[in-house]
Amino acid sequence: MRSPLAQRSSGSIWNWRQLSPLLIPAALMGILAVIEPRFLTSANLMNILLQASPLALAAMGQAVVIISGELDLSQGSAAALAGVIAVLLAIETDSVAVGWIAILVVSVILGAVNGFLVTQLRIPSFVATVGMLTYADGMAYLITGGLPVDFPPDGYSWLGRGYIGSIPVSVLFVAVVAVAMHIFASRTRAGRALYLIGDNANAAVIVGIRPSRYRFYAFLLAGLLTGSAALILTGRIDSAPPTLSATLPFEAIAAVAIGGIAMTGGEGAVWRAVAGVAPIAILVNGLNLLGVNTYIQLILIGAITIAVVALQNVQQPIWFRWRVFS
Amino acid sequence: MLPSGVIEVRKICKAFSGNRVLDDVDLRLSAGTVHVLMGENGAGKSTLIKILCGIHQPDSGSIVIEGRRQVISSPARAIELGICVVHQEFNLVPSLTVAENIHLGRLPVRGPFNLCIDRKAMRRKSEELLTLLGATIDPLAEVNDLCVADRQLVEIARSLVGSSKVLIMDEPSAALGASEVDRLLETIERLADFGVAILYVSHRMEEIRRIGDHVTVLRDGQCVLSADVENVSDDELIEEMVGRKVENQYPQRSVACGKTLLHVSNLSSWRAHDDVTLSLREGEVLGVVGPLGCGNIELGESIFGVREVSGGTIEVDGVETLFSSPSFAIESGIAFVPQDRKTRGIMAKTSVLANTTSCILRELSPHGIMQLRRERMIVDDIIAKIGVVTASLSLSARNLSGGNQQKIVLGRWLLRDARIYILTEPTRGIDVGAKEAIYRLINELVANGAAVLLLSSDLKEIVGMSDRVLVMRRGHVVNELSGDAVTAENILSCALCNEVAVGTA
Amino acid sequence: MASTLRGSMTHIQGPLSSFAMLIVLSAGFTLAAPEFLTENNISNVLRQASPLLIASLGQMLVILVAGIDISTGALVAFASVGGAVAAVSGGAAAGVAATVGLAALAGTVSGLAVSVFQVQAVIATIGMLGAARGLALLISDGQPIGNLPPGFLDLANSYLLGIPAPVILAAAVTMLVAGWLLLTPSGRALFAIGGSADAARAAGIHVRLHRTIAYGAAGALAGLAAVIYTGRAASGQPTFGVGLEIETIAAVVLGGTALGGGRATVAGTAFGAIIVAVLSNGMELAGISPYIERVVLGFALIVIVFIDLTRRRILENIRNRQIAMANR
Repeated sequence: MRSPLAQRSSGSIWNWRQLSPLLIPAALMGILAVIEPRFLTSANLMNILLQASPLALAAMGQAVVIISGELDLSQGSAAALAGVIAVLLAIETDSVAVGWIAILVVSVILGAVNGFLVTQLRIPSFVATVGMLTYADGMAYLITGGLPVDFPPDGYSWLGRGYIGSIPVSVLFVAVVAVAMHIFASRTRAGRALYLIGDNANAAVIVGIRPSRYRFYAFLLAGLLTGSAALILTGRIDSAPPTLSATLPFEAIAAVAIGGIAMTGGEGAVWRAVAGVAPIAILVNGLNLLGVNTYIQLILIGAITIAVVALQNVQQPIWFRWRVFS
Repeated sequence: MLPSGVIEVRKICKAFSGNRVLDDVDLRLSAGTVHVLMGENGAGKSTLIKILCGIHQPDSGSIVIEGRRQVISSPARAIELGICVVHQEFNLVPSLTVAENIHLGRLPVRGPFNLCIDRKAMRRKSEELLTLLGATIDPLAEVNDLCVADRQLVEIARSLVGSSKVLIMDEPSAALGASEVDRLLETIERLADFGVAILYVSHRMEEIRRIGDHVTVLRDGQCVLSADVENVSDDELIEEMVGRKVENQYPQRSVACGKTLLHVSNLSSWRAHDDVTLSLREGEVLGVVGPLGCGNIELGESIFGVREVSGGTIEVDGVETLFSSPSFAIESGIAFVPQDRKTRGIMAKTSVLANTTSCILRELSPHGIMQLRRERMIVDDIIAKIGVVTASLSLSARNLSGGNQQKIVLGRWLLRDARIYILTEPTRGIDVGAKEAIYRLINELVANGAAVLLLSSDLKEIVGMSDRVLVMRRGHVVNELSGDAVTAENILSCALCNEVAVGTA
Repeated sequence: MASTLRGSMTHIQGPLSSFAMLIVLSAGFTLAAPEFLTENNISNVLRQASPLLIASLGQMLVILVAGIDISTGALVAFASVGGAVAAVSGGAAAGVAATVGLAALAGTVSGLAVSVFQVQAVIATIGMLGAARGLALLISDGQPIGNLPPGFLDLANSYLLGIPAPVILAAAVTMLVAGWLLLTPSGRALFAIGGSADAARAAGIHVRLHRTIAYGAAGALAGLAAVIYTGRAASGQPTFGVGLEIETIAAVVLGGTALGGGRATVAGTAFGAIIVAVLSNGMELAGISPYIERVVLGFALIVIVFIDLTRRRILENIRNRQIAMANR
């Protein structure tokens, strides 16, 4: 017997969480196209894709961690630290390959540390990754003395600024990674295990799945993806500043939430993280075109994150929660 | 003749989805007396209690309190009317002191603007109540440091802060050790002396004999016996609880047992069970039953590796071992159905498909890549076999009925060809049709040579499905019954009475 | 009674051990750098510790109700800038009111998201982090806001009977918060909610209301800290508070408050904040670069939390065994 307040079956498409990644960017683009004619040019759209690429990668990494039931707040500083070490090494050895490999290796190591802290020492993920954030931040500053590391060897920035034909390498890279992540999530044992663990870790234990092992993998993967985001970011500006992207984890979390992946874990296809990047990138682009203060972006992203997650949780219409404060 | 009742329940009826849970139930509680409520699981006791404390409304019938007809519309209203309930799960805040817990939400205040807590008054009142209950607990002690029995006393004290006329206690002795039960009973006697009317739900004969004035037995929602405790014998009570109807809802099966698959020796686990020894053979169903808190459920958890073991060993197929985690147990061919499918059994957001294959994840993914087509075929097969009804395999499991969910929680282990099945309350909270399906499944398993350890509090289920029965009490095995001796009366006698009764036949 | 003794021991244990840590640390630093123990330096340390202490008390309130506040630093920046603007146009009193008020408002919004909309505390405060920091940058256009009326600066820079005003403020706030938590029903309600929200709700406590109040109060306290920071720098700065949330969490955990909620110790948090300030000061005196400080801080937070969690788990196990033995 279903009470009138029963939750609608999640098979229905009339569900905010399912639709938001499609509705919001569509609405935004519609509004912007009307207000600002420069918005819909192919050059500008390509620009949006370019800007969105590193965030898309970071968002996918964050998505994996959130699906498994944890959180990674260290993405920004980890990216900065990895970038710094990588470019330094690249300059030392005058080898682009060393730089690229180093940035990924360092990020994975940092991810492994996160994973260790959370799964073995059982420190809550927000504390562990915030600690890592501070630590990596400090290390990055320490190594560079506060100054960006400039002039990596030629070719380093190919991933960030190169083109294959008329398509930017970074966009292609993101596309490839997105496909790979989709395969990971839907076709590998680890991917499947992560969803089961995020849904109900106790039930997963009963069927013989070990949450700590797979959560560790999730942090490793997040590290790898953060590293690739760092690759593109440093490549784009041809330098590795110690403050590469302080807001990266926050924007990534916002993208995951807007894309419709539940913050409580256990559900949500990975493509949604990429889809959630779209409104953010469109918003930023639009605001820039309109000459609006860049600080507003930060505010909006923060406010939108809270609003979207809050709406996710509202399953009954607000007016049923009449006694709001009890 | 009983003195005029404090609270009278007249002809209460209640049905859930067409299922009659209470049928014309009468009950009368008098001030200063202890009224014992007995009945099997599903007899309707908890529904009756929920009606009395305002959580449910009766479909028909009336409640009369001190001569006036009342509607108990909500828990707050019940408290206003002086009805207090002590549940099995205490509503205490462990990090606060005893006094604060007793006054939770009702802290006495003093001073300008009633800003300040009146700690002196709080302490005084707490000491008063605790002395009334005969407890020697320091009001300033932290609840976290108290043992279960003391916490229960605090919970009782809490319910007495307001003026209460009626105190309802739901199986309060379940979690207590022997000496603690003594103290509890003293407390209840004291309360009765004080004029409170007490409704006491329990199955333990010695308690009933000691403090009970009047007893009512519920069976299948009906009031089948209502008498003064001194006028009724233990046997009569057991008979009425069980009923004379012959239950034929359990499919027949011939018993042919093979070698010993599982042997447990002196298995102990802190606060749960002590020194348990049992053997499980191919093709047999061993039921383990006892009153609430007997430790059978925890025993299953210990064997499967979910619960920490403090002593003893397990032998599977002759190999001595102890499982530190479920994955090892699963590798040795053991399957497990947990007690609460919502918290430990089903992954609610995940699809039916993924839930079903969750226990053969490794087998379905050699080299780490999932064989999706094979998975689909396997699931199509098994879903049909265990009879799960679902619109689609990709539907989230939370959309399934309890019965279908339970079929998955049990049936998925078939994919592993497990040899030993530990089933904890396998048919709790599911409809009759699903129950039958589960029983048929169990029989099939056993016919194919598997062994089943059935841990349940459903007496009919145990009697109907088990070849042998172990009766447990407070963590120990007190008796073993087999063959024709496996009857509800025998089990109840062993479980509830102090004397160790009937042996094997 | 044995149980009382044990009970009060856990209540004293937090502040006692952090006090002991403080003594040990101070001794250590004095050996490394004798200037540490001069009257001037001690006054300095205490003055620096004061805003951190106040903000940490706010963090403690949020942690008490089983939450966390990652936005403390951003709230400080937002409040500082907003308050500075108000002070420039409306005078010192308006400035102080605006500073505290804006931060309290932001905290309340986070609190509403957590209690009414059941957004996880981490997520809600992360969102607030971005929003508040962004607002701070927006209002100030990235530049410090100076030209503050002298009255405003007094709170941070003046002395009363030889003691720096911020220290007096911190002490007063500490006693106020302690009084609230220990003596009033609403304060105790916070403990109940953190210990078991279900039990609290069943007992009739307004869980959502009190939780929101906790976050709002934390915001107000962050605002108060912002007043001191602003006064000290003689300007409102949008870059204030970076890393403040880590320091406050570290202070709270060091003081013996449990991250899981339901328990809190004001004295412990106060000592914890002083310890963090001493660490900072000590490292400064020893000539250690501020960057290394960040590294140490991040590392230290993890170590502190790990030790705290492990200690609790061990105690829990011991307690379970004891109860089991007693029950045989």
